[in-house]
Amino acid sequence: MKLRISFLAALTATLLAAPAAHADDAKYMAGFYLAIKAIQVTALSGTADMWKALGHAQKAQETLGIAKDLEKGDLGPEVAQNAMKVASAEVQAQIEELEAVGAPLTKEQRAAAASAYLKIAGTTVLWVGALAAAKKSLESDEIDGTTKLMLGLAMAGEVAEAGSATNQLLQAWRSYSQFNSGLRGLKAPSKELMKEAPLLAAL
Amino acid sequence: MMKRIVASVLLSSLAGGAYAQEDGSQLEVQYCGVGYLGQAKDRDTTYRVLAPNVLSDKGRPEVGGRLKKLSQDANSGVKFVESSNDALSYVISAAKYEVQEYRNPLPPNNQMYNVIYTLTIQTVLFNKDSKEIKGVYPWTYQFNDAMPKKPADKDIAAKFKSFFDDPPALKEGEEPDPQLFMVQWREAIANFRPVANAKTIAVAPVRFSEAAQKSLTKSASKDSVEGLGLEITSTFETELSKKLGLPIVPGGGASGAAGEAGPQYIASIPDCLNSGEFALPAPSYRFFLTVDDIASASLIRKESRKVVGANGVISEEPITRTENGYGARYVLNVVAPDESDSSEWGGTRIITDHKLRFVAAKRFTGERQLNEFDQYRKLSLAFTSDLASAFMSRDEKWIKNQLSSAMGKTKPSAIRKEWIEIFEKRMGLARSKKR
Repeated sequence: MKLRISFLAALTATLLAAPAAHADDAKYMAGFYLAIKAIQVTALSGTADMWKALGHAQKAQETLGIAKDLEKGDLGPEVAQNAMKVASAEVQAQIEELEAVGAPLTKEQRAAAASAYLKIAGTTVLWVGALAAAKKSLESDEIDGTTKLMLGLAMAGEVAEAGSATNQLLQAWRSYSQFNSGLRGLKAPSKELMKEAPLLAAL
Repeated sequence: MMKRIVASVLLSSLAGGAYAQEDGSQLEVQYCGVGYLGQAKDRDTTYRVLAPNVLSDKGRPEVGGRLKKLSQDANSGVKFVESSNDALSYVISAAKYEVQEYRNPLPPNNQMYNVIYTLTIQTVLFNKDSKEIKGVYPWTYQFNDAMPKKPADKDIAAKFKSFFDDPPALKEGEEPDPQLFMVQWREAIANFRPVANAKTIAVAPVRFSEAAQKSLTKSASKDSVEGLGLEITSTFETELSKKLGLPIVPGGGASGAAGEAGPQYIASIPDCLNSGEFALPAPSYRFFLTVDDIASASLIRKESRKVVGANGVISEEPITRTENGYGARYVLNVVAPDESDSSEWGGTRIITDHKLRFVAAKRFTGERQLNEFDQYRKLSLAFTSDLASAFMSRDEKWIKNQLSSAMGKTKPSAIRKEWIEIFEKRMGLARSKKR
């Protein structure tokens, strides 16, 4: 059984559970939905900017295309949410790789990437707004306990996952952005490597 | 005699400007501007990249004035007076650069150049009359810059000059770029807290065991290994001075041979003196570090990763992930020097053969050849920084992680106890968690 309750399923359940007469609930839910969409568009657009700054025009175009499709309403929230998380992870992996191989950025790339970083970092503030909208929906008396629980779990899960993806990307950038003025790129070895490398363990 | 120097200060934020002294006292010195290590005749060769501008007769007072203003803004513990025998100068001791070629890992995979700039400045306290050095506090700035075209000499000189430019004006809510030289310099000078009659430290030239030397010369020349020894030594000096807050005695602080003058510090400080030969104090403690052994290993994993394509479609693609590990064992000795002691160590060893290991990894997609020598260089420089921090944090977990298997059954707690005895009780350095 799939324990994780999907974002879209929870939204649908909640909207069905809230009778049309209770206009406040529908308003809160619409607010929550719009807030999430705005975050996803901003995060995807920031990720596209980051790809562009790093010099990967194709990935930049693809990611920007997803952001535009979402904005037009061509993509559902769940597809957009997954795309955002994977796109964040992809650009994060690329940044970590640039740091690992010791490739710095040019002055222009640094400025462009710093601007993309700020855009992505801004979404962490937007998540707080989305959570506030969600909290108001959950306080409504017209939604039953089970739906509230489902919605609560879904919101917490979605927000936590999206927040985590964004945070990891931001952390990777912060580490790499210091690369230009210092000796970076060294990470602790994995347990697996130490286990399989007796020469290192014997030092 | 150097005026009473403050013992401790309360720092405020960089943006907040100067910080207050606990006891309100100040170090009163004459500001002697910017100088450079060595004699005037060496300026154009040793400091080729700075000679045309920063160290020229026109450029020096401009840069010196900017550094003076920044010092006054950031550190109210230092007061510049019109005239005093006690003086302070910012002495540039290294201005180097290295150009590395590399292939851009991202499309279009074009040829790129990474220019690594290194600038070391020593804050030097001295007596103008007696030409005695009271304290040398080194600080190093490093900056990597990538570019598609190989830089010409004039580009390099212009970049070095630009480091000393005032940071651009900030709009409301903007933070200064932490990578800027002047931003980092300001932070360093704000933390400059010389203590009267401070213990002095020296680092003996870092040595390599035969085994380590043999391994390193597989991927580098003997000259490069020798150069690496000098680089680790000077980085260790800088890190120790920064983290312990103590002045260094440059050049290992070795005493002169019988009948010869002791070690000297030769610097050109044109705004106060001409070329000067200064007498150095004897170090209170001398650190010895030996690179005892090195090793590397590689782990290749076949994995898959998710990628997002156009229209938000997510697919999985197979990838090869490589993890390269680089490690070294270092042997640490610390000696309380005694001029009458003619043994190998020249004094009493207060830390004897602490063997520590340091391992780091690089992880990337695909398989790549990394220059091993360069990785050991980064590893060793990072180790000196970590080690100096660990002397202050005395963190048992850090010691446990870095304790070499060659230490047998020695417990981390025993090492920690020794470090407390030495750094806290003998040197009077309170524990600090700041890394």
